[in-house]
Order: sequence, then C-alpha cells, then structure tokens
Amino acid sequence: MAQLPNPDAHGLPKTATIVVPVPPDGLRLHRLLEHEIPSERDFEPKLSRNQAKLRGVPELFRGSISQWLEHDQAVGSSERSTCFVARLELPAGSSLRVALTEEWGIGHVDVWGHPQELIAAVADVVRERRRA
Amino acid sequence: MSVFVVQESIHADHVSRHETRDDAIAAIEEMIREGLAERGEFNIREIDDAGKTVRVFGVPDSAAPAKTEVA
Repeated sequence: MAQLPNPDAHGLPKTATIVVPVPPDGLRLHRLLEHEIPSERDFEPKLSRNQAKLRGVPELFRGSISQWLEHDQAVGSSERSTCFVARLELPAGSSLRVALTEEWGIGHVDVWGHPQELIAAVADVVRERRRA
Repeated sequence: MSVFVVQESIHADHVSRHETRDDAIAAIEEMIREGLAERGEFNIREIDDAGKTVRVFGVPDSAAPAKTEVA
C-alpha cells in the first residue's frame, strides 16, 4: 500500500500537516456517505466560515474532507446504525491532495479535491449495519 | 487518555479536539446557541491513546436547554 508521509517520521510535531499529491501507485481510501448512491454533496466540505472561526479551525482544513485508510476505520467513525462506506481509488497525477492526519485518529487522511473528481474515484459502496 | 473529537455527523469530517467529553459537548452546544449548527449536525468521536476510535455519540438531550412551558 502507498505510504503517506508521517510528521513523526520527519521530526515534526504530530499536529504538523504534510500535504502531498496522490502517490505514484494511487491511493485507496474510504469515505462515509449519506446514502448508498454517492453524490457530490458527500465530497463537499461543509464547515461554514463562521463555524470554523468559532471552533478555531484553520482555513486549510475548512476545505478538506475526512477519509480513512481502512474500511473499518470509516465504519467506526459513524454513529449511525446503518452507514454507507465508499471505497475510493484515487489516481496519481490528478489535482487531488492528501495528508495523513492521525491526530484525528489512526488512519485518518484529509483530502482536498473537487467533488466531481472524488466521486469519479468511487469504486464501490458498502452498506454496513452495526450490531446492536 | 482519551480525546474527544467533534465531527460532522454523517461524514465524520473533523472539527475540533477536546480533552473531556463535557468540553466537546459544550463546543457543539455553543455552535447551536450561536445559530451556526442544528442539533444532530455534529457528534463526538472518542479516541484512545493510540488514536483508535472507542465510540461515537451524539449530544445527549439532557444537555439541551430546558424549554419554557407556556400556560
């Protein structure tokens, strides 16, 4: 699997963000969706400027969305009894940018990209039903 | 020691990190109070020392401001 640069390995603080293009071999990530059919809304950052300001969110992260290296990590971040997880195969050589940001949890990746480009990378969607 | 992440409910997009559950709840309540969020729009993901998600939960109803009864 493609490795994303980790701030620790570069002697940087854990909160540092190393934003890179998709690695040459591509990158497989997982994203929670609202419904089983992906829509551009699923890949649109939603935090408003005022929400971000109130919570002290850097502008950098107002334009990114959360994805996960592993399917189970995406499932685990959902509260819903039934959730939908898209597998994305991100291609190299695109305008997409990614950063491993594990201060938000193991396997967490921030992704910057046009929603149309991201939806085009969806390979499949799995419906997950959480056990009671 | 656990960390509490405020996140968007459906897609789990991160917003902020907090040291306690109460701080995370207060952060969501503040956004609601300021008219910047709807109840249920954000929830809280608890992660352990290793960064593994322990659980995800919403703001409990008991945290909501009491409604004033009108006779």
